[in-house]
Amino acid sequence: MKQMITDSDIAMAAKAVGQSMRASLPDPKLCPYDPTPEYVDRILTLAEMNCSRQYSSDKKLWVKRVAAVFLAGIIGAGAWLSVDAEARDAFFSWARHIYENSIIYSFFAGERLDELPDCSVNWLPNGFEQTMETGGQASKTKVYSNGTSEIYFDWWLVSDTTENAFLSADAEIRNVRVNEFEGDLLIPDDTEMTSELIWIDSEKGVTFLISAYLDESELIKIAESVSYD
Amino acid sequence: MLVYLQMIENEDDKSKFIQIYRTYIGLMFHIASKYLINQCDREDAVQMAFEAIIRNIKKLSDVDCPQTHSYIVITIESKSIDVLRGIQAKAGVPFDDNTEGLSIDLPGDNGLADALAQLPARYREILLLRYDCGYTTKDLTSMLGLSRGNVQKLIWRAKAALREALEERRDFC
Repeated sequence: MKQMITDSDIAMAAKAVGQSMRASLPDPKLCPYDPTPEYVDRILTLAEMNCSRQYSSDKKLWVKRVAAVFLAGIIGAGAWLSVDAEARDAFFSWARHIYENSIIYSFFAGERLDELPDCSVNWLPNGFEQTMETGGQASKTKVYSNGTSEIYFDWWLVSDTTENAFLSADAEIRNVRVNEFEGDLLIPDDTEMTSELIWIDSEKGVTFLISAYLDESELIKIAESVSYD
Repeated sequence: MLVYLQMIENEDDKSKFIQIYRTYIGLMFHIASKYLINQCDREDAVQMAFEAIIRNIKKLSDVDCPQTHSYIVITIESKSIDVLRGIQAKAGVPFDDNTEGLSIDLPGDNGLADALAQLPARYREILLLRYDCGYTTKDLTSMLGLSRGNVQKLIWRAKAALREALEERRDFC
């Protein structure tokens, strides 16, 4: 029978390994460092390049400021929000901003549930079965495996001012629909990385994420089979 | 150091970075030399590591604390392996994903700690960042430039590899 290894077992072992690792290396203060003239030249060249990179950093800041104004506009101008106080509290408004290498979901309004509802995935590709389940009151994960590959299913609560960021460096981002909800599919250029499908139940304030080495149709089929218990 | 300082806006962060640079740069080159023969490649790895340190400067504690020390060692090890991977890819040599981490003295428990110390670099690194340095999954998404799902996957695989390594040690004994 396989022995269970708990997180606290791993934490104790990691502390011991960390200590050994630091003790195995020379004292940082005693390591000589003497840069070659060529390295100094490279750093100076990089300094010049960085000045032009500052321009694109400023551009990103400009995009963020525009996005903030846009968000303020949504809050101010949304007619349906002013009609019914209960509707304003019940539903989450959210906005998605796609930057150079990340998607940020910003949430506002809405009343957070006290506890995250349990969910089940009712369709999986052949051979997959649940192998793990973890989580607490605000976020949960289920893992499914077919012996060679895994599917990760995460879901978590959002609330007013929550921001969830997904890094999507070198990935194609496709807007998709999961039943009645809007979602994003991230397909990485690096085949070592999983594809990811994110969608949001704005009524309950729950974000869902599926990560797996599967194609778009299978990911959406899994996502559309998700139900609250 | 000029270029690194230009990337940091906050004065406190700049001061912290200067201390990190002065304290650890020699050690970083020492570690890079374990993987990379060519001085230019070592400089590339150290530069990549400093760029990662700058991006995560706000998550780092005191310069001399064990957590920061471990983070810097793990970061330069990881970037050195990345440079090595790039060199081998250019040469058409397949890269071994189970490349070993720095050779370190085993803790000596003949159990979980020894097994963890001997894991492939990528698994040892993620478990040390998570459980020795104490970074959360959320911290690690931005520190490593991975999505939350992929960080979780990496941790899960590292734990599975650790479990397997421990079982093998027990069978051998």
